[in-house]
Amino acid sequence: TTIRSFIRSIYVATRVRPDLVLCNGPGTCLPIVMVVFLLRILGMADGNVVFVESFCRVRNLSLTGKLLYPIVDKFVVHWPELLQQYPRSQLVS
Amino acid sequence: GVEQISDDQQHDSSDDNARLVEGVSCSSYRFKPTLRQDMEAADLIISHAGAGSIMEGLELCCAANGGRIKGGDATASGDVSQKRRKKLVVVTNAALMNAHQSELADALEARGHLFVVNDPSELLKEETLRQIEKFDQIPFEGGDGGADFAALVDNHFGFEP
Repeated sequence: TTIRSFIRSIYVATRVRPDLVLCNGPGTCLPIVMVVFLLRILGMADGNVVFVESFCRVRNLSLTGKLLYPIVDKFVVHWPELLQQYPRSQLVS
Repeated sequence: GVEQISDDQQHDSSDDNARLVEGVSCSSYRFKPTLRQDMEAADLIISHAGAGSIMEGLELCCAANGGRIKGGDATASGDVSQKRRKKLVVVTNAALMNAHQSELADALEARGHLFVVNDPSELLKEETLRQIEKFDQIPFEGGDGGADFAALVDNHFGFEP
């Protein structure tokens, strides 16, 4: 099903050519983010990605968060405990 | 003292059975479209530690909601008109996914926003109930409706507020 959603994401993303993608996990956002990054590399879309980690994540990130942390443009967390471990992240209330 | 309990049940097959248990009127139900009304009316909310329930409970405990305890407690400060704040008690379920519920519940408890109980049986202990009674909850003033998130995204694109 990951492959199917990947293909579907290609279809959607190339039609929309997003300037901005907002995700809040879970892993379902991975295909879309991967495709959007591909489009960025190909110069076909601006594809800025903002990932918002779950409010439940206080001390460590979800798997999706860990995978996407190095890649996305903005990484948003809700708890200051995470800022130390993940200095690129930003806090919202 | 407690006067009224209203709870939603998971396994009982009978719906809507109001009864009197040791002088406390209890009612229970299996499903309701929303628990908000019950939660608004309550002085004490005992909930499972699911994230959504916690967030809803915290919201109700802060937004100008200080349930006046009816009748007043003679053993308390003696001031019958004392307005006490709504309290939130959550029960974590360690059997779910590496006890992930505790991460959020404990963090909020450390900040004084709710009271954590780690097993339903603890609620039967008098010691726990005394602690809950003494617990002075700090309202959770988080969540500004996403204004700072919007600002963050605007900022990324270089838009000035």
